[in-house]
Amino acid sequence: MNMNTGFSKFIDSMRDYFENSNGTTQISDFRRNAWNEFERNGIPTRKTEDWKYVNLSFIGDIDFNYAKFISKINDIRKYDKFRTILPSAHNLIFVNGVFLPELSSPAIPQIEYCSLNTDTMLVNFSNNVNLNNRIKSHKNPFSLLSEALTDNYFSIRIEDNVTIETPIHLINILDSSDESIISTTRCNISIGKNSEVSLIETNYKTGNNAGLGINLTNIIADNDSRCTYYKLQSDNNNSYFISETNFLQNRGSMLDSFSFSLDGKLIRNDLNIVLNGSGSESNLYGLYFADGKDLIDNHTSIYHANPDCSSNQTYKGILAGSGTGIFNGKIVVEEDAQRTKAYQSNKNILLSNDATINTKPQLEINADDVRCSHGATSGRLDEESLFYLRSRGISADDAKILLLKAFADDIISKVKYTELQDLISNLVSEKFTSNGNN
Amino acid sequence: MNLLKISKLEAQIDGKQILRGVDLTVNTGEIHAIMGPNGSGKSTLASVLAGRDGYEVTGGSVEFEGKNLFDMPPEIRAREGIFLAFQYPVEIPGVSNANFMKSAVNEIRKHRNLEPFDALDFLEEMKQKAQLVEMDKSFMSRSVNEGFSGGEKKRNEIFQMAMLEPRLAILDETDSGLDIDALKIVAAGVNKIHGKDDAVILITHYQRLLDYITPDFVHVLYNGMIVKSGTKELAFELEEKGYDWLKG
Repeated sequence: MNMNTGFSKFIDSMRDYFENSNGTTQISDFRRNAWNEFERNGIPTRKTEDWKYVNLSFIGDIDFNYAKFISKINDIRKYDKFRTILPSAHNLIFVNGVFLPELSSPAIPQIEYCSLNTDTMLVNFSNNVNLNNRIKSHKNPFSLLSEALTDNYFSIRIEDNVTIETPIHLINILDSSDESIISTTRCNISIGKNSEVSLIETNYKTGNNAGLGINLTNIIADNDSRCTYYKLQSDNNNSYFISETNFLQNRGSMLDSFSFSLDGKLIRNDLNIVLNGSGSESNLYGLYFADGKDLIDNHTSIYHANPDCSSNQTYKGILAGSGTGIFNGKIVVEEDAQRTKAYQSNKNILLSNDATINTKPQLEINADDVRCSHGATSGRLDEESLFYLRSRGISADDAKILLLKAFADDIISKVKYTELQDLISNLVSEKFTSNGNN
Repeated sequence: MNLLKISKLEAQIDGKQILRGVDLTVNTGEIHAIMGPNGSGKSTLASVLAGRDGYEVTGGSVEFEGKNLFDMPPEIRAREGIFLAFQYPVEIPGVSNANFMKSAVNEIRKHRNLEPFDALDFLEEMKQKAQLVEMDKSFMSRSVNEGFSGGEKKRNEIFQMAMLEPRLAILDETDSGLDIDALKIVAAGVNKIHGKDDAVILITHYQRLLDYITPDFVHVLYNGMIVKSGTKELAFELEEKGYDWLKG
């Protein structure tokens, strides 16, 4: 059976949205090319190497409508509560892909942002980020859909030589109150030379119908900039999240990236980093927790394109119930990238017999002066440690929770924004408590 | 007062019979030493008493203060007052000593119908008990046993014993791998903790530990059975003659 036939209804309906999305304006070549490529590739199947563990049949099973905003939603105040998730952050609220300035924090001088029409404005800006061939070569098919369908993209520009003290929080809310929806966002962020900023992207859903959120975020970090990027996904209400985040790091830039995938029926995150200037550094941390029948898939790709760069990845996963975790870590060291340091570690704890982890390092090294290492482990909680704790009077469940917390705190404790650290810590504790008696 | 009564205890691991009918009675206020050659079943006995997985009790009984020990999971045994000082204390990265002990002590206090310690009282308690085994207070914030030297690990076991105030402490080869200074500290700690209301079982290979902790009784475990019991003089005899003379 051709798996793609199950998706033809979905593709037909997306084509309708694409062709009719723009009313008066001409659809740009950029969007049309993206659509054509999306249609040519189709929805990945289990035979597509990068998607082989991911069951996408829900796309054929659920009647997704492309999210239309505002026409159906009268009371935007119902989204107010999302501002209180991280009250001290600079909160930017998006509902079904549309930026809502009324609900967002008031603008501050050092950050310039606006929502731009893709077809008429500044396509060049997006091209700067997009058109890195390394990233383009393995574009997530859903990102193509996002490029084709999103008629406005959000742009943030941080000027040179500024330190933004307040973390910028992009809150992506899916509202599926009326129907099952698919929503796409595109966000381009440029960080000026020698500037410093923290960015947070979160995904939430409100409403009980299914929701598929597709986020494409492109970030250019210019020379000597310092960026901390957090992604938090924790929504267990019939939600599917697929994201691609691309970083282009110029000379001497520093990136700390955190990915917390704690809840969601399906989470797929592609994180692609091009170390595009010498002396740049990337530290990637990840923590994922799949329980129930959740599937969490993290694909990272790091391209060492220049000498004297370093990358360091620590991803940790906890798999419970019938949950599935996937970690695919690709490191490419190009010919010129001498004196590269690249490390990767993926550790997993399986809490049940039905939980699964698929972990795969993918190293392509084309330079000779390189220090590179990778390691992956998966296993049960250590029996001897559990017994040691129990022999001191601690219950079996509490002993488990203590060990899981220790495992997760290794990542959580590195979050420097304390309000976010507390939020994640609480979310993780709740998950541990509910899984303690597994 | 009778604390522990082991009768005809038989146990196996992976189908291999290790204990073949152990009898032992321990009363409050007593210190018992269990000696014996490698493979005689000493550590198995300790593990079975503490409730470690993987051991199958195939016969006999153990009563702790009149209750069937085998009805209780390890944590309940601990709360009832059994403490095992591990031969190989486990390293637990990411769990601090303070956090570990606070969870443990408060579980045990709850079981004894005592109020949980608040943060200040707990810190004070930790400080006092740490002094018993001459541990620096900096270890409280370190991960449990992680990066500890052999001596520090054993001192940490005795520190935990002091914190948990057990009725019956089983010290499984606590002397192994200790230099003489560390041995003295550990022994002094045990002597300070031990009183008329609790009991100690010392499992050891060598007589050396008994120079510092004086047992009321010495038992020889051989081939899964206690083949000889006596007073501390028996330990000297074993030191002199080895275990071979008991085999006949």
